[in-house]
Amino acid sequence: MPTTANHKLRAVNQFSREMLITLAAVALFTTAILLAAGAPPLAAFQALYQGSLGSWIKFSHVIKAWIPLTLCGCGLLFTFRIGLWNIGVEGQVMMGAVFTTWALRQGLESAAPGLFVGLSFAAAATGGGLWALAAGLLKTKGGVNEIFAGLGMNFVAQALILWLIFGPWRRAGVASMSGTELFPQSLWLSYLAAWRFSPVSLGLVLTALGITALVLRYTRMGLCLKAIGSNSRAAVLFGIEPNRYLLLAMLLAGGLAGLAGSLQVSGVYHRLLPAISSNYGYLALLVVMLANYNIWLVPVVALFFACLNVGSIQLPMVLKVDSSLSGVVQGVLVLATLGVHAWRTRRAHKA
Amino acid sequence: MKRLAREDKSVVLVSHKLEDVEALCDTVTVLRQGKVAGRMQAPFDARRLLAMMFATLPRAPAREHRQNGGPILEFKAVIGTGGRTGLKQCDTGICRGEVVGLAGLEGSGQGVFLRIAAGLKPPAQGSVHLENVAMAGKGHRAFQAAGVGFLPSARLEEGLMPGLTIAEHVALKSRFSAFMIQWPQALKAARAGIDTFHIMGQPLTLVESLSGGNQQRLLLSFLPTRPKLLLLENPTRGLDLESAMWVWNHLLAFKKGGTGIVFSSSELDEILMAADRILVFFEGRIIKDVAAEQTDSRELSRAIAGKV
Repeated sequence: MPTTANHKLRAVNQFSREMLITLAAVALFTTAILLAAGAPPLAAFQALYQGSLGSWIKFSHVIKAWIPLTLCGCGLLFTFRIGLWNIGVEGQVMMGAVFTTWALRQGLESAAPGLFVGLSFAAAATGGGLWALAAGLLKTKGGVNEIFAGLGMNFVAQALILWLIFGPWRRAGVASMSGTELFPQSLWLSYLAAWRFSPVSLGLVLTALGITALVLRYTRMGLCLKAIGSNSRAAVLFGIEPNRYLLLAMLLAGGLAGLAGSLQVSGVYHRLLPAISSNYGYLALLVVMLANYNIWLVPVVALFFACLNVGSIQLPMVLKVDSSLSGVVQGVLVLATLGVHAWRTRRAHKA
Repeated sequence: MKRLAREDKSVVLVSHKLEDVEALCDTVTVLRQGKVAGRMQAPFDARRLLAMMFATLPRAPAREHRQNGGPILEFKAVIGTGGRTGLKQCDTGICRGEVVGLAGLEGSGQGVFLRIAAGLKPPAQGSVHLENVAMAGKGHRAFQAAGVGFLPSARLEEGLMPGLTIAEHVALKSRFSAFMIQWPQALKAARAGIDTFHIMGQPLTLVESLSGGNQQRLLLSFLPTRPKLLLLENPTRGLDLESAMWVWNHLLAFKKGGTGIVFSSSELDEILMAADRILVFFEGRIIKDVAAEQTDSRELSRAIAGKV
């Protein structure tokens, strides 16, 4: 529902201010840490930039990270809208990857591999969706907080992947952390050589963004999610059944996260890896929070996180500092985001 | 004040509290809109006093209505949990066109009673019938479909959704947006509701920025248009007198169509003014069930304290 222009302007102003504060906080903490680690901060920031936006190849790597982040972000918009902390998104990405691997394995001998690539999307959305639905049912039927249920199921999903890689799906002769056997090229998502990512992935993300925006803004379902997120007791008086929508939101979030995991397999790694989800699920939670749950800011913030993520990889090499530094920088970003978020929530409560 | 009066001093007390007036005064003069509406000597007839204070109240002889109406709501041996005391072994019925006031200390079972009657809370035991249909265990949607409207006392906590606009509330309530929300229609309906219910706000106003009276009017606009049973929790709490009178005029108009109205209130005056019949709750039980014209605030006060 559009609010008045005045409202909108104020919200935009406030958001830009908070974004700047977050960035300033990140820059400040990062500088302090770099100085403490004995690395020159300016050179480090330049390396970050060079590593993410410095060349077309680098940028295509950024897009490769942006795709799953944005897909997960779209899904999380549904769960955040209804007031759920779907921290299980990480496991939902993993289950998407598992179901995709399963579907593609069925197509190994097939004469129509394209069919199985298409099927793998559906399998992934189903796998991720059901994994999320299980956490949702634990909440609605068992009263288990979705954060604990989700976290627990993340561990289960991770264990399942390891078991598959070292068990039923192990490579002939060697089972190793490097994952399952590489799929033949016929089962890869088609991609242009210059791009490093598949146009199909890009199309999927843009479609997901469009549909999410449409559903949240113009459908009864979107409004019901918002109503329940605001006040589920009052929503009941309006004839809405909160539990039904809660499960629906989980299903949608899980489906989109599953799709992100699917693209990691069919579009990026072409096999199942132990770290197939690359923490993109967790990162997407931060993306959506920092974007203030605004769908049009999600891709923007996701791009920023993707740049940092990709750019910080070569930070240790360029600056000859310990490789854990990039992890520290990302950690700082997370803390700064949470800090600004907490500050915003507290201020909103005061007002 | 009594002592001052005994010392031959004259005391003029200005109050809208009937209990104070009854306890302290010898004669009373009722003013309404700058004019003397009537005078009375002690002992006072509370209902006549109220009639003088609020001439606009559409009141009909209550007994006549009760004879005409069959039962809408029936509680048989209902036990409910929640609140301070829960609800203990409740047997009662509400008839068509009957206005029933629930008196009692806050949280003596009135809230649980209303919520069970609205299908918002399942009874732990016992049966609930709406027009002879067993309803216990069904959800609020089934009760809504049967023509029950519920108005909670905590407007922003239980009735409305902060962060949503008036138009968004209207869109959720209306039937025309089954899948896609028809925003132009929702805005139009919101504007119509705002006009009809004299709400000081715009379709795009967030509900939390409305005043209490306007929030209450908005909630009233969401009640079904032809309800069989209205359940109202403290319908005028926190409202100024004018808003409160507006609310009651609106509610009592439903009575003509045969709607049964049950409301709780912590104001005895309000209960005496609006109700045909009064149920007094004490520690989760109905300890008094009396026609409004056969009681007064003194007797009710004693019952509220558990002395029947």
